[in-house]
Amino acid sequence: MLMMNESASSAHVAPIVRLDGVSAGYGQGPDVLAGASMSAYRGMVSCIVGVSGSGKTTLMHLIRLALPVREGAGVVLDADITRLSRSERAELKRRIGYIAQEPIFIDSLTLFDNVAAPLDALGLKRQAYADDVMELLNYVGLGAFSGVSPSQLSTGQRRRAAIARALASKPELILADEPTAGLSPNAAHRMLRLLTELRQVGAAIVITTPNEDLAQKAAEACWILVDGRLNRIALEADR
Amino acid sequence: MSGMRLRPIAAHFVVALLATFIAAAGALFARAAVVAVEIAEARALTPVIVRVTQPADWDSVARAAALLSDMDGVALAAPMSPERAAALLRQAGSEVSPDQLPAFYMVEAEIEGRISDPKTRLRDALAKDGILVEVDASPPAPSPPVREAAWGGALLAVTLGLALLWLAARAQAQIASAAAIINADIGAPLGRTLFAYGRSGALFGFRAGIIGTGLAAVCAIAAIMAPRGAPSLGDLWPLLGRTEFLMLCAGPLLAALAAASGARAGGAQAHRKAERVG
Repeated sequence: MLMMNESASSAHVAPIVRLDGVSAGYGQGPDVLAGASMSAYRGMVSCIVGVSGSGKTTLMHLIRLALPVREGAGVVLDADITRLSRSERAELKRRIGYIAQEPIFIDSLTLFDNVAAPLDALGLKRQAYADDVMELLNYVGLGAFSGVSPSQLSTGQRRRAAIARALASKPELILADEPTAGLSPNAAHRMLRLLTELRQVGAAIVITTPNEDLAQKAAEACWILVDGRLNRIALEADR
Repeated sequence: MSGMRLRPIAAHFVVALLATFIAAAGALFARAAVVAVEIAEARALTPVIVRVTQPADWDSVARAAALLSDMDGVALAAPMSPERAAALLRQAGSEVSPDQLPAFYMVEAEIEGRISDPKTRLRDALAKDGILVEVDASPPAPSPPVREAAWGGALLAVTLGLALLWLAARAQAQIASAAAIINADIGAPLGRTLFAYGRSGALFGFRAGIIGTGLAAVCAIAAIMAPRGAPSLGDLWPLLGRTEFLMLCAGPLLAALAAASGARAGGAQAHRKAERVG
């Protein structure tokens, strides 16, 4: 299940995400992103660092196709995100795993059913995915909680459950919005390790965080988001 | 996901329940009013003049009156004397004395409203006994437009109830938006959200419909039976006709349809909102 993409070894070839001078904002409001540029590659972890309110979540919304591009050019999974039809957008979203800062679950369903939601949405039968979902739950350390309601999980557990759900449809791009926010140092460390391990399965991973140290530890590429623009940060390992 | 259920929020459920109660009670009370009108109309008496044409004599008049008195649906039948005819004419404004009247052979009768086509019925019945007659029946007095008013009120109550139910289901779906947001996030088609919300909404409406219609039925039965004193279950059964049975079945089904539609609207709104946050 976790061997998502055999082409992991072909990392650094073509960007999974490429943004060139992108501007975006909400409704008629001002630009939150103003000329932002970045790229993310298969098998790599890219970190976006920024203080609260700098536009990290907006950037995530943009990459996960929930926010339209006002200006600039953007390509996600080989698709021009400035001109996608509704159905093309929905289809592309199925190849993206998104882990929100406050993941939403259906509390009236079990954790298993919540994690299986993307597979269920693809029309797969339960028996076809049951083993894969259990494997995912075990991978994120929640195998014992498969039958409980997500409402009974802690913040960290809910984030791990969101990771499992994001991985269920074998995405080629994983987006994690401040995955360590509100977690204890130990839990944050575990969360980060869990996410960075995903590079082994060949997906491109984009993580936002306000913590530059954490980004330095985790990422192969790092940007800082200031005034709506993304500036590349040199990694300590490269210096 | 396929087993998704929206948890009924108490306030919305109560609104839905009251909405179905309003709709069902409106329809049931309208039906009760219409039944009462029908009973009153059936009991109302229509005055009829039976003119004996052959054999034209007083014996035939007396025989015709006797035969009519024995007929089902005839409340009264009596030969019309010249004095009675003069009195009737006086009521109509013609001052005529009985001895001024030409010879006539008539029976004055009153027919129950439930008898259809009284003219033909009386004529045929007397013809069998060799008495030929012409029947003049005054048209039945027009009933006040109770039926129209009752069904109009019922239509208003049903429309209002279903609209309230639709709104309650939509509001609930908007609050229970997690499924729509997740579907939008994972790129599930809108149809999937509509199906899930529609099914949950239908269940929500059906439950509210069962309770609301049931309560309305109890109230309607109580209202109908209370004036009769000492109600019993035995008295209840004959009150339930096919129309009442269909109404009781239609309550939960219409509620389910309205709530499904409302929930779909709420789910679609939440899905579209989550699809594009900007």
